[in-house]
Formats: sequence, C-alpha cells, structure tokens
Amino acid sequence: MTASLPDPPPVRGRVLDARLHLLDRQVLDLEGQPVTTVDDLELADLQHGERREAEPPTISALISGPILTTRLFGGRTPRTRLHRIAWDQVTEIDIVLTLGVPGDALEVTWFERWLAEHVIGRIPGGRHAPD
Amino acid sequence: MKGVLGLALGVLTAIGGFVDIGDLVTSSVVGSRFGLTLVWVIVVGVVGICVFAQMSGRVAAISGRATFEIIRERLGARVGFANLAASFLINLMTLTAEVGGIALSLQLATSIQPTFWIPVAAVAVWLVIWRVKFSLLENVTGLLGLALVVFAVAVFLLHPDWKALGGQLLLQSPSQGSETPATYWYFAVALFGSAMTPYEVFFFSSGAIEEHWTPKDLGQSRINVLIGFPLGGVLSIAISVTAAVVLLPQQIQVTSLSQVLLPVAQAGGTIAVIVALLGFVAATFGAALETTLSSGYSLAQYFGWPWGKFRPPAKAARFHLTMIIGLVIGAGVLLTGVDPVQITEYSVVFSAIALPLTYLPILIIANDHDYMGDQVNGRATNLVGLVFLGIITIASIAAIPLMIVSAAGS
Amino acid sequence: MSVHPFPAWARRVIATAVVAGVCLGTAGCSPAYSPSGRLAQSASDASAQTQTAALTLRLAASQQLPSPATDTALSDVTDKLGQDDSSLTSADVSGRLDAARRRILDRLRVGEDLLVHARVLVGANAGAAETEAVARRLQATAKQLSTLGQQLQASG
Repeated sequence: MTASLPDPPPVRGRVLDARLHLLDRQVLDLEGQPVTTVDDLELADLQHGERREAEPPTISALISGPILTTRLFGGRTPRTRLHRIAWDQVTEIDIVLTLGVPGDALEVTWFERWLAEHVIGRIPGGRHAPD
Repeated sequence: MKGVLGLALGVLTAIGGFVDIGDLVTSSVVGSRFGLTLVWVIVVGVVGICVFAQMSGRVAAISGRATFEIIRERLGARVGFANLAASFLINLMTLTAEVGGIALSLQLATSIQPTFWIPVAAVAVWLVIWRVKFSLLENVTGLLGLALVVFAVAVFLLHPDWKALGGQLLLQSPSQGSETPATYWYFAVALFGSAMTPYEVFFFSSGAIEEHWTPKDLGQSRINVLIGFPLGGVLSIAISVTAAVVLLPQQIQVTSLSQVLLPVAQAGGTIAVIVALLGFVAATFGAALETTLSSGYSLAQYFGWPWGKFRPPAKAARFHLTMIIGLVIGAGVLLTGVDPVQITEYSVVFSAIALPLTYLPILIIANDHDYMGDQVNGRATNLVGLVFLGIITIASIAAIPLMIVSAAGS
Repeated sequence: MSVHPFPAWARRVIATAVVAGVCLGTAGCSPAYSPSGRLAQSASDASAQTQTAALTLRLAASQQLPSPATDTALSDVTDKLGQDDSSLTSADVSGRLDAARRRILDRLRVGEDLLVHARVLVGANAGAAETEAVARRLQATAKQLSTLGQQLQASG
C-alpha cells in the first residue's frame, strides 16, 4: 500500500506546520516562566499579507501583543506597536516554545513589569508567595 | 498513616467542595416544585462531572497544560477567543452569584442587610486569594462545607414517607398541576448545569498545575473525584429531598435562600440551622474563591501570562489584576440590588449552554499523542466521553428555547 | 463549491429572523406570557410567599429558627409580596381579568397586613396561641390566593 505513495521531498531539519506547531503556542523564557503566546509570525522578506509560493519562507520573529486584535477582528497594526521576539532567541520547540533569554529583558512583558512595579507590588504582601 | 489521612482529606474536600450556590438554590427549587422527579438529572450530572474532571486533571498532570492553553492551541486564536469571551462572562456571572450567596448566608446568620456583606465578602475573598496558600484554602472551605451533611441528617429526622418518595423517583412527568413539560425540562437543564458547572473544570485542571501534579498523583485524584463528587451529589439530592418533603406539600416554591433553610429548621431546630448556615457560608465562599481564580486562570492561560498562586502576586501581576477586577465587577453588580438567587438561576442555565466549549477541546486533547504520549484515553473512556458530549450538546442547544418557552421557569 | 443565491450577510439575517420568529411564535403560544397566565403566576407566587410566612412564624414560635434567620425569611417574604403587589397594581387588563386582578390584589394585601402583624409578634416574642392564630390566617389567605390562581389558569 505504501509503495504507491511518492517519497516526501527531502528536507533539512524538522518539518513544522506554522499553524499547528507555532501559532497560539505558549512561550516560556530561560527559567521556564511564561512570557506570552505566539500571536503571529514575522516572515523575512515578506510584507504583511504578501504570499509567495516558490520558496519556503523564513521566520524572522515571533510577534505578540496588539497584533492579536487584528488577527481576531481584521485590520492592520502599525509596525511600531508590534512586540517582536527574534527567531534566533528560540531555543526549543515542543508543545511549548522555549527562549534562551530571561522574559524580563523582552519588550513583550513591559505591561506585566509595569503592573508589578506600580500596582500589584505596591499592595502589602504582593512581593512574596502566599504562606 | 499519612497516606490514609491525605486520601481521606482529599475525598472529604471533594465532598464539601462539590456544593455551591447553584446546587443549593437549584436543588431546593426543583425539590419544592417537582419533588424527586428530577433527581435522575443530578445523577447524570455527577457522572458527567466525574468523567470531565478526571479527564482534565489527567491532561493537566501528564501534559502540564491547563484548560485554556489547550483551548487556544487547539481551536486557534479566533474560535478560542469566542470561547474565552463566553466562558469568562459566564464564570463572572457565577462569581457574582457566589459572592451574593455569601452575603445572603451571612444575612441569615446576622439579619444585617446584604448591602453591608457584599463588599465584606468580596474583600475577604480577595484577601484569601492574595495571602493564603492554595492547598490550605481548598482544604478549609472543603472541610467546613461538609457541614451541609446536616441536610442528609435532616432527611432522616423528617421521617418522610419513603414509599411515596420512591414513587416520585420513577414518575417522569410533572405531577404538580401548574407545571408544564417546558418548565420541567428547563429545570432539568438548570440542574444539569448546576452539577456540571464549567468553572469546576478550569479550577480542577489549573489546580493540578498549582499543586504540581505528576502522573503519580493521578491515583489520588481519581479517588477524590470518583468518591468525593458522587457523595457531594448525595448532598445535592438531600437538599432536594428536604424541600420535597417539607415545602412541596405546602406549595412553597423556593425563590429565596431563606426558604432553603426552613426544612432544616423543621427537622433539627436551631442547632441544625446554625450548622447549615456554616455550610452555606463555607460552600459559597469556597466556590467564590474557585470562580475568582478561574477568571484569572482562563484569561492568563489564553494570553500566555504568568499565573498561579504558587508565584508571588508581583510575578503574576496581570493574573491578580484580572481577579481584582472580576471581584469589583461582581460586587458592583450585586450592589445595584439585583437578587443573587435570580443571578444564580440564570448562571446555572448559562453554564449548561457553555459546557461544550470546554468539554470538547479536553476530549480532543485527551486523545492527542503529542500531549499525552501513550496515556491517551482508552476506548471505554472515549465511549463515555462521547455519550456525554451528546448529552451536553443537547442540553446546551435546548437551554435557550426552553428558557423562552417556559419564561425562565416561572 | 456550492453557489448560494444570497450573500453571506443576507443569509445570516434570514437565519436570525427565522430563529427569532420561531422563538417569538412559541413564546406567544406559551401560557407564561398571556395576561391571564401572568396574573395566575402572581397569584400562585403570592400564595407561596404567604405560606412561607406561616411556616416561618410557626418555626420561630417553637424556637426552631434562630431570630436572624426568622427576620431574614420574613423580610424576604415582604419584598417578594411587594413585587407581586406592584406588578398586579400596574397590570394593564380589562373586563373579566381586571375583576380577577382586583380579587387577587385584595387577598394579597390581606396577606401583607398579616405579615406586618407577624413581624411584630416575632419581635415581641409573643405566645404560641397568638402566633398560631396569625399563622392560620396566613395559611387561609395563601389557600385563597392559590385557588384564585388556579381558577384563572383553568379559564385560560
């Protein structure tokens, strides 16, 4: 039965389905702390919305944050408001994506850090775990 | 010895934690209007929640992924978001009902107006979430919730006509003159929703991660669920029976929490009432904690934020902010003067509507080798799972038409 | 690819209209929404509340219900009867139904007066004989309200 199927085209490395294995996956940092979810992907040399069939695209970054609303409701996010995580910071792809950098260094986590610093951390007992 | 104690603790907590304001009100309303003719729904609902909770706990322990992470990964951003919006709003409604339930219970204990107790309850819920360890809050509210066993005792103290009660179990059509088939089935859906509320699943799967479950802990969890939930369901049935024995013959249809208490007073007097009130406060407070946490869990898991009570609040800032906002909204809605019992009645029906939203993704993931390795569902579990998927879908689709035709069961 | 005669938005509008139509249609036929159905509903609700007051009063008199719970239960009844009172007062019906509405309202007000009496008795820790008399009258009123509701329902 299997003889009738042609061999898959040879590829280097692992085959990833962007939708199945990357989009909407949880991203963890160096220490295993949650950073964000993959809201969108940035493809090198491709403009937003552009398609090219000839060669496989190269992922240049994971994108998070306000981009999600445009994925949900349509429209376009200005480039300056995209939170990018460069692809070369990704160290492991499994059912979660792991980064090789601490989450605090990333632009995506600014609201979390601001909130922790100015609101939640200011409430008594906010800085240590419950006991 | 410690193992046995731990086992007993887990089971007792599951029993005491099973009942919430939805079960208290719906079981009593149904008992007072339909006798025991709807008890079969509680039985079906308990089997359903066992299957459902067990599966989501297993998925969480093996894959390390909680419900809403899975929902988004499987359904994608769009459908996942629609699911999140619906589940979050219904959970918020349940949260409001539970905080209202605390206020009503404290009013029964003190005769001080609920408007005073609503902010007190909301702040107390927040404080406990802010400062108390996960396992402690779960065990204390669960054990105090066991006080509701007084309803089971009350059934015996009332010396009911067992034969007549047994007869009601088999009678499948409404016997009371004024009840129509539409109201009967409307309350069947409500009772089903109260037994299977979706927040229990968010809470159960996220709790497994909070307590760092591994596949080794699954045996304990299976015992908690398979013994604790059915016994919790027995409490639910006992509440229904007391209403059926005392209130139904006097044609008192339950519309307030104070009426739920009257059969206990008749059976056991002041002491029984005090024990029952302790149970009311513990059950509603425990469920308020669970629904508040669930509001944080669902949002944080969808957006990939850090979450969990095992982190210091400043390390899960957006998670804690979500819960604070949820409590403020709940308390705000209650302070407008709406009747918490009515919110409860709607919340259980909307819970029934939302059930497929959480149930289906869990069933799919439990069969996915990427997540579960070789621990995917067996054939038997899948068969039961599919049967329940059918039941849940029918209840979900039927809920709104039944609500309209029966004028929300009036 | 199937070809639809209508654009997507039009299909959505049509589907919504059909669902809404079916819902409204069934609701229109449902007794719960007819004027007489609503009056009957108010009557049976008021009956249940009056009956609750009687039960509460008896439990309080026999020291089975602590006083905060008694106060709360009676004040719940007061609130609910007040709601039935205002919905009956504002009900826009005429002829035979208006006569029924007046009869129900008359009984309901008797119930409300008895309730005030009951709360005074509870507050004063009145004797068993006195409370039992009020409880009986509450029960009788509940019975009358329930009968009025059933008559309305039977007559459609």
